[in-house]
Amino acid sequence: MSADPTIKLTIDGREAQVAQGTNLIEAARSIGVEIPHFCYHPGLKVVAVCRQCLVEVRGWPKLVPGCQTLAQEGMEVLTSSERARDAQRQQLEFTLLNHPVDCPICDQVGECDLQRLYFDYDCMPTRHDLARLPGIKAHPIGPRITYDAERCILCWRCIRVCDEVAREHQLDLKERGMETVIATAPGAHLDNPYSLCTVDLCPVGALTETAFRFDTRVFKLTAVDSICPGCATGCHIELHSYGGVIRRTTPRYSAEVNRWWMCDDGRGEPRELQGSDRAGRGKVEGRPVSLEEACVAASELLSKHKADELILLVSAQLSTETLWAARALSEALGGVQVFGTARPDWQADGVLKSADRNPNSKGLELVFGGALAGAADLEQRLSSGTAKVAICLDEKTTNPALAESVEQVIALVHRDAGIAEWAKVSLPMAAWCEMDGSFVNKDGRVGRFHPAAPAPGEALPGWALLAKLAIGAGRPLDIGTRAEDIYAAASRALGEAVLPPGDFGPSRPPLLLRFANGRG
Amino acid sequence: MTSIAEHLDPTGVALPTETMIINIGPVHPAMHGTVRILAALDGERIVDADVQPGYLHRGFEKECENVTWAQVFPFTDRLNYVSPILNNVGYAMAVEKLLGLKVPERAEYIRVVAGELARVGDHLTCLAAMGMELGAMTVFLYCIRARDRIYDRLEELTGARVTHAYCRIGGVKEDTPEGWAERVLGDFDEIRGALDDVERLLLKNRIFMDRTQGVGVVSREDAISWGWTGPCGRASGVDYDVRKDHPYGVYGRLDFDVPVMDTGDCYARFYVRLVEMHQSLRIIDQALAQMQPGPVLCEEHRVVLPPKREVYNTIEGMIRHFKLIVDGIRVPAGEAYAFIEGGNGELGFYVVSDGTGLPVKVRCRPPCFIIISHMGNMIRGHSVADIVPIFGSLNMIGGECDR
Amino acid sequence: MSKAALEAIKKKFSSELLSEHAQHGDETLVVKKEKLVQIAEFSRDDAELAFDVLVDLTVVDYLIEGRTPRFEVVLHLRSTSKKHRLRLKVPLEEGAPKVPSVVGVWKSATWMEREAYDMYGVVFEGHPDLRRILLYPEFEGHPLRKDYPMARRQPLYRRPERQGDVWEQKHILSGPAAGDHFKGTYDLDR
Repeated sequence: MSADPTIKLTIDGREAQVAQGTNLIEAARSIGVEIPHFCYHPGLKVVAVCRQCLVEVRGWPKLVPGCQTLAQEGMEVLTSSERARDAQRQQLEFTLLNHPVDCPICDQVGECDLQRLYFDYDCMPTRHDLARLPGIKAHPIGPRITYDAERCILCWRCIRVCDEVAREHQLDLKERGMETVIATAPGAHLDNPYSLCTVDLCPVGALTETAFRFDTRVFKLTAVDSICPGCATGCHIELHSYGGVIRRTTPRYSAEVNRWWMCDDGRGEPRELQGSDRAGRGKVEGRPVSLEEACVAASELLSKHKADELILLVSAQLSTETLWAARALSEALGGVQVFGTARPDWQADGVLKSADRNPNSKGLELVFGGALAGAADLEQRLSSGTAKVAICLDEKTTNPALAESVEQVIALVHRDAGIAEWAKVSLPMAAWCEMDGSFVNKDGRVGRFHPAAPAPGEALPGWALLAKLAIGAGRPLDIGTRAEDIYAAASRALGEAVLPPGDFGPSRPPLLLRFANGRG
Repeated sequence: MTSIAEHLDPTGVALPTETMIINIGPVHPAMHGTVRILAALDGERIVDADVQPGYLHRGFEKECENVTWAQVFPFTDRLNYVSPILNNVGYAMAVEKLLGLKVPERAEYIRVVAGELARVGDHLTCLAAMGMELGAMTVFLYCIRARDRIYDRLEELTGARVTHAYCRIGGVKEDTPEGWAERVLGDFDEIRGALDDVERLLLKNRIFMDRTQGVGVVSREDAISWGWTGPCGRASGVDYDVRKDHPYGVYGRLDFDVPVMDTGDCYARFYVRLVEMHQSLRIIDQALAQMQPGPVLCEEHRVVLPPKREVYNTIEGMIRHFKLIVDGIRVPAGEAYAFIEGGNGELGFYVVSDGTGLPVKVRCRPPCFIIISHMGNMIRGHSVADIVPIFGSLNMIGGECDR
Repeated sequence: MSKAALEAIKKKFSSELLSEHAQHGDETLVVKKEKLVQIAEFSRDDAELAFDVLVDLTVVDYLIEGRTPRFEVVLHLRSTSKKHRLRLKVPLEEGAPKVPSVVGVWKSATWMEREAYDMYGVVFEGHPDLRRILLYPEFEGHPLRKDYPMARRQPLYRRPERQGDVWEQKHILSGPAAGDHFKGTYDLDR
């Protein structure tokens, strides 16, 4: 516990010790007791509109909402007394009064709070046989989001997300009583850069991501921990895949980095990678060959040239492990000059987005330190004409001068387009979401990511390809054969304070959302 | 027993012989199960044998660990596929034990009736196959004809002839159809007739007696040490029947006898099964008479699926159905072992739950796997031809033995 | 089961006893593996316990639950004369799990231990003939371990360099009949 004054209270007969200012939901959660709730969210202001979290406090005449009531010294809270249970049941019954029988066509099923709470806290058959009120369905409330008024339980979470996370008042309530709906505020559209967080937080299927609508049943998805490669913030995310394809991206809670949120742009990253032009085979002079053959061709090039005729291009998009392997390769080949490239900056928004659009700028800096040459040096070197062969690990930020000034390029690529079309040799490289590895974000925090989908064809992680090239060139790298080994080696060399060994722990097995209790 | 060499050479000077290895199975017309026997022979005498099961292994436990609790029922059907209802009941009882669930009385009676019908079917199949393998084709036809009447009744009850998946956690799928009890009782004449025919054809038959009496004798001590239960154990003098010793369901209210013999040979195993079928019919008779109308599924909303009318018309029913199908029944963490009298003996299910919808482990204690484990020793010293009655009388069911 | 009988075994092996429970009425003792055979013999021979039948023997893998030790050997015992039951559980460490065999106490353990070895890779020390039973000798891994993937497939083939198991060694590979005349039949092997 921090220096905050702590208070003691009992919840369901068990003692809890919490900081001053903690509400009852959080206090109960700290000892493993769940108080059912819809509108409360730890990241948002409390509004106490859903009335689902009513609990009994001994000695108090009325039931109180657990979200709005702060823990007090000596309080005796009963979350599952007869009265509290009754209130929870009745509230669920009210909430379900006009809910449509939409589960079979609703995208939320499997991670629906309403389903879960009804099943856990009520589970009684309906007592009425009346027609349900109709509402607006499948309404495009924003460019990326579809709204369904019938399913909405009016918890205001989406309104608060827009107000408090994106800091734009784009949603509001319209009409009164039974006719209340969520609508865009006058003159506004739901198009803020954090709009998809409303979908994450929507406890039911009222707000759904238009791109993910009817894509995959949520309970069939497998979740894998990952890191967003969109910018230097390095938001913690989860990649959800089914059938070997990444279907969607959601934020993963991280107290220090992104809390519960992530931007809409970051969610598109895996989708951007998917496409028919992903490189799955090697190419030699534009002719598709097996990876082995391409590696042999590339190694030959390397062994034919001296170190000062070679250059190595790395980028801040690569994983720390690949960068470490690149450093090892440059040393093994006798001191090849390494150039760092980066995606151009964009506008930082003061919420999560950093100006630097590269997830691993810090990692690049750590691995190469002062030995790294920048863009200006690259231009100079290219114009000098001393570079005969370039190993290019970066297809996005390739300098156009490369094609003209270097005789032969060995490109490690994600796509068969662009540089792969004219490079002497191209090798298929697995993307970040298809391999194990880590990024170091702008604050120096190491973020670990896991493979969420199989790499296409023969594609391998960048470090594995570099190791193969080194073996072919007769200069094997001493970096180990797993991402863990490389990280450990880098951590030993750069200092454990910079790359803490514990940050690259054993990989967590993929989580099937279907049986992830409470999630599905 | 004198060796073949001594027979051939009364002077006692043994002819030089060598053991021969023959391979019997895994598919062989005289073996009703896929099992392979490697036998080392001295002449026609088996000096050593290695019984190798596993040809029907389908990873029952692995399958169970990857589906919800309720989805296990179809897999249990395929264990002892001659009496699937009994497997259903055994598994359902294990999960109900973990859930602490009480099954409605009518469901218990239906389980008893259907289970005993399945047991009769199981024993009939065993006798039929054993008779046929010893050359009595008529016996096979009589028994199978009677068994078909049982299959007809079970089909009316469950909708399927063999793989019923009829039990549910908390009861059974649905009530008996109109006039079903009368039709079951109406079949008794034919079944009893078949049993009497078999009795008259075989029990005093010289050939049958010579092939089975004194063959494959298992002492009571061996039967206990090898874990034998069921008809095979009772033929060796092990007076143990789960229905009597640990009455489950409504067996405590039913009056029946447990036949026990002490010769422990193939004849005894055959005879015990024959008598047991008469007892099963007695049980069915009483159970049908005692059965009262009532619900066949318990009322626990978090276990039992809601009626379809509610599912399609109310959100409450829809959610309940959805959660039960997708998340599975959430069984409290813990472990339980439930056991019933299966066709071949004590059929046990050891289930472990961690509180989610997926079982951690569903272990089936297969009675015939444990009986067959002693077979290698039983056939030692016998001639090759004796494998047939011994193996037949043990009633190996591949699905249950190999899982 | 009588309280006195249960107390007797608990008292005699109090240093071996790790925990106990009687969930859902199944009396259970969790014991250390070292003296398993002695405990087994005592529970079989003691007049009050008289557990003359080993009903079932199996293993549970608690990898997903993250429990340590990871494996647990589970024995179900029954007494023919006393009509009571007991469950014995033996926790086993990950790595190379080993446990003393109880074949010498109950013969029915012969195949059950072979099956447990086959499915979980638990080695029963002192078992006379510990080899795979439901799967074929070439099978790699132990399928009921939780880290054996559900979807993994293995081709069915006979390794040419396979050495015979105990039975084959005894009768085929070293016996006088190790000639060629039956090899034809024998090569029908799986």
